[in-house]
Amino acid sequence: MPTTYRDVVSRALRFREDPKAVELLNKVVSSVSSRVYRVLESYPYLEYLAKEVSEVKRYSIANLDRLLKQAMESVERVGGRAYLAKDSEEARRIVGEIVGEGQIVIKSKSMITEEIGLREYLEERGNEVWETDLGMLILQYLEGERPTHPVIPVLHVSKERIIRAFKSRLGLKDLDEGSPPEKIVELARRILREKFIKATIGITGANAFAADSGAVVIVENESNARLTSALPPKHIAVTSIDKIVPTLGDAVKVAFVQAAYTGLYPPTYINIIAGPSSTADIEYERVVGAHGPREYHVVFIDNGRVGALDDPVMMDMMRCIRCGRCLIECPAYQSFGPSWGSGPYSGPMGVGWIYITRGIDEAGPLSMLCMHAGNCVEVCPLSIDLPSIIQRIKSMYVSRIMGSEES
Amino acid sequence: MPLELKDVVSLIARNMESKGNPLGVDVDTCVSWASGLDLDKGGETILYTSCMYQMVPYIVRFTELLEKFEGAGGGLLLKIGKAVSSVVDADHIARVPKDERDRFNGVLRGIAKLLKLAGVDFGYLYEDEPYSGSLLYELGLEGLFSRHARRVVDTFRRFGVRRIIVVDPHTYYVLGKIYPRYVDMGDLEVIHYIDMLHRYIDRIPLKGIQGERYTIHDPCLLARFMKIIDPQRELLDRLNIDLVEPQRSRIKTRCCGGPLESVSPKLSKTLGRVRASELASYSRKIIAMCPICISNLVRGGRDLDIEIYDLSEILVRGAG
Repeated sequence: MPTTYRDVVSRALRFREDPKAVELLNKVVSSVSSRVYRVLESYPYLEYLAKEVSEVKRYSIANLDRLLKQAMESVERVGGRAYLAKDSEEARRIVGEIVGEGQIVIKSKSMITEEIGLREYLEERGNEVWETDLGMLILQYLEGERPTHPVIPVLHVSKERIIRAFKSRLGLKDLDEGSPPEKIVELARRILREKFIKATIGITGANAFAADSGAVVIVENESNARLTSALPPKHIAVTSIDKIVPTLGDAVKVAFVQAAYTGLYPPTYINIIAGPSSTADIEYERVVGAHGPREYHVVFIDNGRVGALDDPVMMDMMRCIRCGRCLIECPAYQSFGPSWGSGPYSGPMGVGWIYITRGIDEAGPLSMLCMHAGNCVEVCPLSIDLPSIIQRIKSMYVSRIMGSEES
Repeated sequence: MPLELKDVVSLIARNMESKGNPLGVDVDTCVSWASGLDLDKGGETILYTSCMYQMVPYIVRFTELLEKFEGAGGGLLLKIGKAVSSVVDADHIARVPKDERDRFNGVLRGIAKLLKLAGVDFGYLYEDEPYSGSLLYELGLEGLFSRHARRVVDTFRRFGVRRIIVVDPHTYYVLGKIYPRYVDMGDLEVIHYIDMLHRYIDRIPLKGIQGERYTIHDPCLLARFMKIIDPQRELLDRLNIDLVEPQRSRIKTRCCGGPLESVSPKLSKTLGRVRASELASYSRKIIAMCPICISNLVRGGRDLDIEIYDLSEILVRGAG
């Protein structure tokens, strides 16, 4: 359903009328903000690393064609299968064919899978699909809710709501409003443990993809991405093409910076997956399929991204590593939070990604709530010029709605 | 029911066409501040107001009117149009209390006085002074904006202007950063009055004023985009005032919500309220330096016990 300008304003107004939601947003936003500042102060090298990543990404999008080709060849070379999908539909179909039907599928958190509506699609095809990131599992239980921050997807959901969702889905008696978060985490662990063991497919996203080595790099703290990519016999990594960087070293640096600028540093885990599991312990002959997956599939998704490279302002968006820091420091996101976005993308970077992946009709109305305060570009680890990107979207949208009155 | 964007934008575009400014205020409203100052018309260096401070009382009223329509579920251009013309129409000018108009005219007179004390020679374009078009740009009306910008620069050329002293962040930002993308600025120099005063700080006889506590609100455009952060503080330093920096100040300053005034007056006010309350926790006397910030902090802070000053109003006190 297309979003209108009035819808966007109405949603923001409604959000402001809910004092509890506003209070929760204030609380989470201010703790994430101070945590990022603390991390950057404690590990001063991170700012240098961010500058390096900024240049790596600039180079990567300028050489995307070549790097994509190299990335796909590398995947095949390390014993995997590479696919390229031009849009959501093709991406869903490709993953759907690899998965098949009637399977138990586990997923780690991935905004690109949200972007293409992968979970719903696989469920429709008769698969049992489980989100294993706690935040994403909560959203799965809440049905129809979308992530409102790329790394903290349930930033807008109170503990009480989470408990209610768990209770109603699982019919649990030993859970009540006052239960501590530990109790919920323990429950999720219990529920998912069995799924990790039984799953035949593990689907992950990627924080970065190394073109030279065919490797997916995933940063996390829960260890669910580690299990998702290691336990099932098949691993499918789904990644948008903007995540491709030249080398494995570059990819790991992206993961460092992404974690740091979300305030989660050092990250508990950085996963590097470059192929199916294998062993060469018997006479140094490589046997594919050891304790981990026997199959490694990588699906690269375009979905509007190549098109963005034609626009000199918009192409800067392609450097974004989705750390979500621009959201945390943006006065519009701080005020309107979850209401200022759609699908998995919110906040300043959300307006840009929504434009790239869904076009002006969706992104235009959202752009009008930008106040051009400039906090986003100031705090972006890659100094992406988000105010200019949003201004460009605003201008396209306004000339569209004004038609011939303003040209 | 939120406003229809098309209605608001059309109204602003229409006002630009008929009166040359987004609110449709008349030329007297823009120039009367200068009466009796004997400023030369034009000249190499001019003080460029873009009618921004003069419009503050009208912006507040215009936005409050829009807010009513936003609540009433109307949103019809006709209704808004009529209401707006009743705010700014010469016949109804008395609706904006004279003391409010005087106050913001006084801000400009104060800036002029400070510049003179600093030994800066400048003229003014009076009724030929154009509006910068900053709101057009901010609303995404880039076509209108770029055509307007060309006309503005032509006007400067016609009067032989070489150096433009601007008084507000919005005008400074568009002239300094955006105009050059659309129009050849040639050797036109754009400078903010705060920088100008700071350059000649030793020439201005700034004395200490009574020890009251103030807090400060940095405009986003001035601090983050134009990087003017320290000069105003060094000027205030000369007054020996007790200045409390809010946690969100300088490069980390928080938006006043002003830029949303014409998009959603209610949302804009909410943000104004948040920022005004935050500032009030540091001091009830707030120093701002942008007409848009002032108008929105005024709206947002209506029921708070605060006083909002323009930087120049405080500096003038120190200049005796």
